[in-house]
This record gives sequence, C-alpha cells and structure tokens, in this order.
Amino acid sequence: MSRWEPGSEASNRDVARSLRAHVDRVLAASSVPDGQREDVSEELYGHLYERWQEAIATGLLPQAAAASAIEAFGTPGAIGPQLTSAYHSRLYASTIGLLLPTNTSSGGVEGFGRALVLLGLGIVGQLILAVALAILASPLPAIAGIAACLYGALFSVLAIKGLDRGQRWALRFVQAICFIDIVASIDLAFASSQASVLAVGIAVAIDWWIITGVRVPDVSADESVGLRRLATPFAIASLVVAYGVPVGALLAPDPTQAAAYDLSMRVTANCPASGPWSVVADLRWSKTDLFGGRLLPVLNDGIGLSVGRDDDTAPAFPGDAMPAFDEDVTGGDLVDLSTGATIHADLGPADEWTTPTVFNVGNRKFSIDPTVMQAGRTYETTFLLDGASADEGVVWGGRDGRFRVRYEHLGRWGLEVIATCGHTETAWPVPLR
Amino acid sequence: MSKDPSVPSLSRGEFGLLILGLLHRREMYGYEILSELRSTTKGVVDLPEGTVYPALRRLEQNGNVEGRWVDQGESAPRRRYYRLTASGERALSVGRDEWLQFKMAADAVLGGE
Repeated sequence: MSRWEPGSEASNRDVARSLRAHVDRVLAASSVPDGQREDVSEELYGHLYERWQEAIATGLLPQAAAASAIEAFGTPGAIGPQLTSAYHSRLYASTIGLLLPTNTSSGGVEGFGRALVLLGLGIVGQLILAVALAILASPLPAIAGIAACLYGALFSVLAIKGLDRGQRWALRFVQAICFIDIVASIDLAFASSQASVLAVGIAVAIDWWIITGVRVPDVSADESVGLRRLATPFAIASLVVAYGVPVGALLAPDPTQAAAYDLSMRVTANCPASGPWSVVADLRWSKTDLFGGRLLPVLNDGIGLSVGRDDDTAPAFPGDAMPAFDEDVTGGDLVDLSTGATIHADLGPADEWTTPTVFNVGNRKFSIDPTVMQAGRTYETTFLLDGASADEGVVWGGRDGRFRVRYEHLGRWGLEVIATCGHTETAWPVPLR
Repeated sequence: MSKDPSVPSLSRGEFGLLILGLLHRREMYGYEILSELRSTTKGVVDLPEGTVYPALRRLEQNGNVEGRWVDQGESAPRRRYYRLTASGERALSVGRDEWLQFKMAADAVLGGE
C-alpha cells in the first residue's frame, strides 16, 4: 500500500516529512511485526496529519502546528514499547522487544556479509565449546558453561537479526568480538613460535577488516529511547558471559569436586616367594565428588588406578597393555574397612567404557560405581597378580620388585607412589601426563 | 472479578474499556476516539494521544474490535475505523460489571454515594 502524501506545496511536504519521521522514530522504538508495520505507520501518520490540520485551524503556523502535533502525540520512548506489548507478551516486550525494534532506517547495513561470517563462526565455536565442556569439565561447571555457550549462540543469532535491522548494539557486539579476538591473538603471538605469528597476523587482519567494514545507518536517536540505551552494555555483558563462563568452567577449580589433597592413598606390594603377588591400595577420602563423572563419558580417563613396573618399559596410564599375564589379574573389588561391605568391581577389557570409576591393571579394567564411596571411610582394593608369582614375577615387579602405582582423577589431578615389595608407601600428588 | 486478560479493566489501569464503551456508541477512528474521550470526560481523561493506538491494536489482537480503512479522497490520509465485535460486546459487559463493583467498593470506603 503506497503512502498518502500532501500536495505539492514545499512547506507542507517538509512538515509531512517531519511528521513521517516522528512516526518512523516511534516504530523504531517498537517491535511491530513486519506485516503490520505499514498499516500502523499509516494510521499514526493519519493521526498526526489531522492533529496538524486542527492546530493550523487554531491559527498556528505549519511548522509550529507540526511541533504541537508531535508533542501531543507522545515520545517514541512512551509509545513504542506500548506498541510492542500490543503484539507480544510482556516477557518479549521487556527483553527481545527492546533489542529488536523495527528499524525503519533506510540505506541498509554495509558489510553485513562480513559480520554474518564472524557471527556464524562464533555460533559454531560456541557449540563446539559446549561439546568440549560436556566431555572435559565436571558436571556443575559443564552445565553452567554449556548454558553460557547456548546463551552466546542464541545471542549471536539475535545479533544477526539486530544487525540486519541496523541496530547499533549489534554492531558493537560484532566489534567487541573482533576486539577480543585481536587481544587474544596478540597475546598468543607473544607466547608462540614464528610460524604461528603468521596465523595471528592473518586473524588480526580479518578482525580489522570486519571492524572497519561493517557500518549501520545512523539510528543514534533510536538508541537513546528508554531501556534501549542499555542495549549496547547488555550486548557486551552477554559477550563476556558467553565466553568468560565456559573458559572459567574449564580452568577454574570446582569446589564441588574432590582435589588431590582430599585423597590419601597408601599402597603395599606383597611379593611372597610362593603364592601370588599382590598390590594392595587403601584409599581414604576426606571429601568426595558431589557429582561423579562427566556429562558425556566419551574419554577413558575417569577415575583410575594403574599398576606397572617402575622401569622404562612400564605401561602408560590408562589402559595400555601390560606386557603379559593380563589374563591372570584378579581382584579389584573395594572393601569398606569400616563396615566390611564389598563394593563389586566389574572386570572387562580396558578399551570398553562402563562407569566413571575404573581401575586399570594391565589391560584389565576394574570399574565400580563411584557414588558408593563416602568421605571419612577407607576402602581397600587388592589386585592379585597370579601369573607374577615365582619365576615370572620379574615381569610384573621388575628385577628389583618395584611397582609404580598411579591414580588419576577425571584428568584433573593424580597421585603416584613407588611400592617396593614388602613395604607400604603413601602416594603423592603428581602432574598429569 | 474477571481474570480474563483479554478483557480490558480500568482497575488494571488500562483505558481499553473506555475505548470499548465509546465504540459501543458507533464506529470511530483513533483521532475521533480521543476527541470523544476528551469531550465525554470533560478533559479528565487526557493521555498522550499516541497511546490510543497501542490500546486499539491490543483490542484488535484480542478480537474485541475490528478495523477497516476508509479513503478520504485526495485531500487527506485514509482513516482506520474500528467497531466492536461480538467478543468486544461481551468484554465490555464484563468490564463494565467489574468497574461497577470496583466503584461500589471504592465508594463504600471513600464515602461516595
């Protein structure tokens, strides 16, 4: 539907433009559905026009009459949000409606494609980060980080829509991403080799290309309407949340989970001249994980205990095959020393994941339910190395009968001890490999 | 008391009910509604003029009124006239009863007749 315009008199056309501009500002401060915008615009303009005519009839000059009509009509900040709430829920009107008003500014957005690529890559990156958190982080930080990632991805979608409508907050959002990327790239350049400096340079150039290439129409007047003045700070804060929380979830300590100093592990190696050799580990927790395992248990580095020879040919943790006799390893059940209750351990091949708690001995895996272990109690597990008795004992314990026993906890921390035949040793924290 | 959110209520601070009351008299367009509201209330109800349109659009979204465009010839923009629907008549009836109850309650407290 084409808009009605006044006659050819120049001053009237100027007034009509000023009235039309006020209608556009009102609509820019609202979130009227696209299918209704033209209709509403025409109705509001018709009101202003009639009010203007009436003011002229009282003796005002055309420009003064127009100013009077505009003043009586109400400000964009007052009328725009009311229009939004006429078409949307209050929740929408007070959130997305503030960020996505129907911008009627003409001229489009320069460099929209560049920003689209950046925001699209950002969305993909957020989703990849969410999966990484589910695999790597403990449950509570993982949930917080994944929520932040999804929020960031959704906010990026919102930014794409906002930029498409010429919203300045969306431009600032894009520029802030580039700025963070430049700072991170320069930081990386100082800590990396010459080869990566080239990649960093390319990244900085691309970011600069986006910063200088994306432009939105001048809608600064719309940005100062009501709560919309908070749109840009809100967008930047959202960016900080979307990237800061996931990184924090990966790097910051999790107070809900046990640390190395929460577990005391004492190991005894028994190497009788006749009968089976054995390794006995006593585990006493001062605090256990509030939530066990991870959201996605796809990595076989849960909670595990490895026993190997203390020499250069010792198998790496976890799950690497011992050189021989793996079919002769038995035991692995945990015994609660305070109650005598036995916690059954399932025996299976080392490459098969079952539960988060796994004891790897040779290429056998002893897995238990980690939630049955309680703080303040001591649990003992015994691994019988049947095939290591007598002549072949050297294969298990080395020529001097020394065993390296290592405990790793969800890839976060570990304890290790060298147990010599006939002695009891206490494990100490070690960096993870 | 009505809990239907589509029923305008003066006690909820909306003046949609007043618009329904005016449209009950006859079909009107936005500017005319404002003028009628001013004259009928002797200027007591005098809101920013633009607020009538969000109220009208909300009433239309709720099915209480329906609008139609009427050309004004070459000399002026078109006008959008609104009239009550059957749903709007019911909403007006419910809203009026609610208002009368509220008024009686307020009178009882404030000493009105």
